[in-house]
Amino acid sequence: MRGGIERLFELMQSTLLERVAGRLRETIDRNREYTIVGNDNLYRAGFIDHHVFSSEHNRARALLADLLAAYDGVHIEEAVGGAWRDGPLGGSWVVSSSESALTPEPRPDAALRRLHRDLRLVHGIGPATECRLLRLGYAAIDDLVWNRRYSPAARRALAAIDCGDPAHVSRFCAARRGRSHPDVFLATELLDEEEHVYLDLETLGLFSRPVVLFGLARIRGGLIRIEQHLLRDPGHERGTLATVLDELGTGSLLITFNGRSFDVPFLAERAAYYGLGLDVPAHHLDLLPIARRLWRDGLPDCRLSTLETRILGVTRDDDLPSAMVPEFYTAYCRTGNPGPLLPILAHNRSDLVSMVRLVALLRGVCHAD
Amino acid sequence: MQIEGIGDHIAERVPARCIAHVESIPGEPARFAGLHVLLPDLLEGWLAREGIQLYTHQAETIEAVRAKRDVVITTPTASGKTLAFTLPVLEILADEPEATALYLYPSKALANDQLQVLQSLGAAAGLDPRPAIYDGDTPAARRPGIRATARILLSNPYELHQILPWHAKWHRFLSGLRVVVVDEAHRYRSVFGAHIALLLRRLLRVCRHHGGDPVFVLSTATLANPREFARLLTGRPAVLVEESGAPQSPREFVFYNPVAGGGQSTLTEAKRLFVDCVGQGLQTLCFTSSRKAAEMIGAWAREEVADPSLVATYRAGYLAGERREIEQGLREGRLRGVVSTNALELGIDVGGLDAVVIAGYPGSISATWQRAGRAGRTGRPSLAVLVANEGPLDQYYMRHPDAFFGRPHERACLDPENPEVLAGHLLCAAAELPLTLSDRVLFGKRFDALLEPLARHHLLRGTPYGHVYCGPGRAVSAVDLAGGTDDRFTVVTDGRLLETLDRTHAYREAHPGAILLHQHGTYRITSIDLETRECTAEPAEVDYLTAPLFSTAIIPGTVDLEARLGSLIVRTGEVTVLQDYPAFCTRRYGETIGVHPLDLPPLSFETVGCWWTFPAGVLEALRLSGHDPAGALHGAEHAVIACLPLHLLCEPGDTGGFSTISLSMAGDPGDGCPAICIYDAAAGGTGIAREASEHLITILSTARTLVADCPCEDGCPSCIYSPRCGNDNQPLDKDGSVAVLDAVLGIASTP
Repeated sequence: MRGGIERLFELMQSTLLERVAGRLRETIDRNREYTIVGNDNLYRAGFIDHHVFSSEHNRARALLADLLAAYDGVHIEEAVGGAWRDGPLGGSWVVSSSESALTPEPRPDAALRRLHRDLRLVHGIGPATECRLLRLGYAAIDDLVWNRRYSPAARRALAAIDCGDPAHVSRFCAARRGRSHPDVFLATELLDEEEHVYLDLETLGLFSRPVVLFGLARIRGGLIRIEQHLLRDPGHERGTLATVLDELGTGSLLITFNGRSFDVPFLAERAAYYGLGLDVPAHHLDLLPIARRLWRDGLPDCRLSTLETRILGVTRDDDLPSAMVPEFYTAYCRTGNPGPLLPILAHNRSDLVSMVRLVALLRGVCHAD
Repeated sequence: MQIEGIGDHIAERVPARCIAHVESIPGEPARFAGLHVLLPDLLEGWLAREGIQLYTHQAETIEAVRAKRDVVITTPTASGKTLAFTLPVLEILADEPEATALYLYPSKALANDQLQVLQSLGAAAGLDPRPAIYDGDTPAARRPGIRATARILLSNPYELHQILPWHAKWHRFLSGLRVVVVDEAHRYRSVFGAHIALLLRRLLRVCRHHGGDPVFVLSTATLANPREFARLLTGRPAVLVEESGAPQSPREFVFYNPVAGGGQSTLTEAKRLFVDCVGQGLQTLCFTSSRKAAEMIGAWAREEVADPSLVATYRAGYLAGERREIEQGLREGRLRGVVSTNALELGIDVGGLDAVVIAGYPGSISATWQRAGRAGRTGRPSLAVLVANEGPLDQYYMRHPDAFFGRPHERACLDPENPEVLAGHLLCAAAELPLTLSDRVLFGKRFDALLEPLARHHLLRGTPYGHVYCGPGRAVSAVDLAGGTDDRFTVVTDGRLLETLDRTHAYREAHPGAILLHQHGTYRITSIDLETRECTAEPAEVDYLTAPLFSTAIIPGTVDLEARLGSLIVRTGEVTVLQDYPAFCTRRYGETIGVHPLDLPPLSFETVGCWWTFPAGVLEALRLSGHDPAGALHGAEHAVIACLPLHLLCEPGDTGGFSTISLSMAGDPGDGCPAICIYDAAAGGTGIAREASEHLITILSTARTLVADCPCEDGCPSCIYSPRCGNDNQPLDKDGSVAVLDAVLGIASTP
């Protein structure tokens, strides 16, 4: 008995810090960054920023259990595929795939013509003036060059629109018309589609935690070419981040959904965390404000998944709510079982494909009158 | 009227036996000092215009900051501390265009008060330090502007905790950071202190990453261990500035003990003295320890004074406008008397008053002086009266005023190595920048030992460039600086949330059958669900209260420190505290009317304790002389805990106690011997038990005096009765307690 108690004391002593760490992990696991909305109450969900409906949550928990059972003992490369790619600071693990695009080509000439016809790109012209000038027969900015009052401003606007640098045109339109205006989208049409890079990050949370998956998509020969840089180990983040930043380059157009508030600042924070310089493309198209302006009134919210169902007419089966990505990735870390990575990859892939489809749809909408 | 001799004057009007002591403190002239090098012209010009000469402690502070050394200032309230550390800050800001400074205050209200001071100081000196408050109330729209331009930032620890993860956005401010002022630093003690200590280390770490290298200036109340305290809080040595050069007006401090007069309550007597002072034409402030007491005294006093409009009540919870009006009324002399909670204690300027009445000992000497210091600011003689209640601390000082007026002996303690606190901050730090071996210097000896378990739980990941945070939630959300826990129970009545409690409080106040007093009424708890952590309550009209009965057991763990005092062995180390709640009792008017069983699993937590064992023969001797050994040990334990706040800055509830006539600790020389243990009541430890172990003889002597001097027969709330006892203060043997303490002190003095 005495010896038993002694051993118990030894055990307690040797594991005090172990228990402290365990309690901390429980606390962190309890502190979810999303709210589970019961009975799939759409009305309540409207008030909560990060919500997961309880049906989604239950489905995802069941999915997690199934995956852990199905992939027990399976090697990660067998489960997710992919290959190592060298990069400036060690490289990254890349899972590649492609999908048919079926998107209309960009129409730079049409886009440029539309920009020329938007009188409000001229400094000093508001909605009332625009109406008046249109009535007077000024159909394009080019006509205003001969108007005594607006001539200098019109010349400056034309110089900006015709400068040949789509990034500059885009910034000019955003400054004049706001970030959500279709003109901002039209400006991106001036760039060759091969230069478009779609980006979507999956992270361990809302801020100051690792990015676990960097999803990139490009259009090549009518196909959506998807490259997902996956952290097989959270310790690989620095190398993966460096590889992704290197691939993004600086000359291309970055297309994101909510990237202005999320993906780009997140990259900036992670780069600062590792003391890396951040060179992301200066030309960035965030689809969220544009979508919000177009469809806000008819939809309960403007999440990408909502747009998919309601606007693109696509439904995802068994999709993982993005708020639950941390739980799934953490399950992978803790068990080494690659199963939970699959829905993360699938979710990210669907997001990228949806962004491409959304761009295709916007091409139609923004060109139309 | 003449204030000198007011002690005698009061003596004429109250029962003489109530006057425990009158201390006459002579005035002190100002002492001035010059600087080795003048301040920049702008500042010198401003000082000359205002006719300000630097006091010695201000000059010392300026020279220390100039020498890039940390400083801890302990001079009294109203001695010009703000000017002392703001002048060198302004000097640096004037000399270096990129330099910035951070002022940390424990509360938002204090930062608001100081903002105006800093604005007018900066403007008057012709500098624009763009001081700005950045806290939870700062509108999102103003935040980027403040980050981009503020040179003096006023904030609080809670906000800093939220700011640090975003350090990349604060590059300008952090890279220029030259001075961090920590005001009211004595509040950062115990577990809260450990949090702040680690928060400051995180700040320093992030700052260095951005190229900043600040000095710390701590301003604290008088402490017995200011240097040691500063070192614990910042991890670095500091220059001590303690001699005030500010002039001191003569004053009288009266210790008034209604208990000795018999019958009258502290509040009634405080009201009487307050009304008396106001009636004598003295502008008077009366401090109470609760909002309710302030309202009561205020209401009674208004009935008795000649003109009720001259008397007001002041407390937190009043609208800002109302509070400003009262403050102004005091400054202008329009109000002749104000009854206040400690809301008025802090830096809020109300001008100099003639008299202060303090209803009940505020818990520490420094808090008492802080309140008393409200009188006599303008150099006139003044009066302070401390009206005691029946608690042990009050009664101890009434009988030993020399202990109050002598050298400061309150030690502030905190344990920055508390593993529960440290682990959380390590995660926060790792989420801010990868943790590397060079951080070991900042985080102490448990740094290495914690990295491994944190990595094993997948919260950290070792990489070639350091340990990286990879938990699934926000690291800062896992750390509550206020020491709260997310293990909270809700009390629900009729689907409506009544309140939330942590687990210990739920066990004590929300077990089935408990009567819960809530501001909107009285409720009886009908059930507790330990899984969902929900308690249900129903409204109840009852004429009794409930109190839990609990027993505590201690399982000692690793001993960190074993000290031999004579033949007494004192051990300090990890302990597991187990608390069992087998029953609760119902009480009517303080009398137990029934005991009811409870069905709750025991609570346990790991913390730091200090225990000492002595030969069983001591108890045998007690038994032979007719004492109850268990009651004697129990009483001695209560006395030791009761008098801890006389030596360490802490609240009585911060420490728990345990005594046994036979300690079971296998393999220990004290196994089977009688033992007394005191332990930190917060998981991971507060530093109190460790600190107490180093001053045990003094504490034991005080405890002995406390009990032996008490005039009661069998023990009372002034000596060995504890309001927090889980055994309903049973058994207790007062004389036996003195005998035990004598015996222990005897052993400690025998080689």
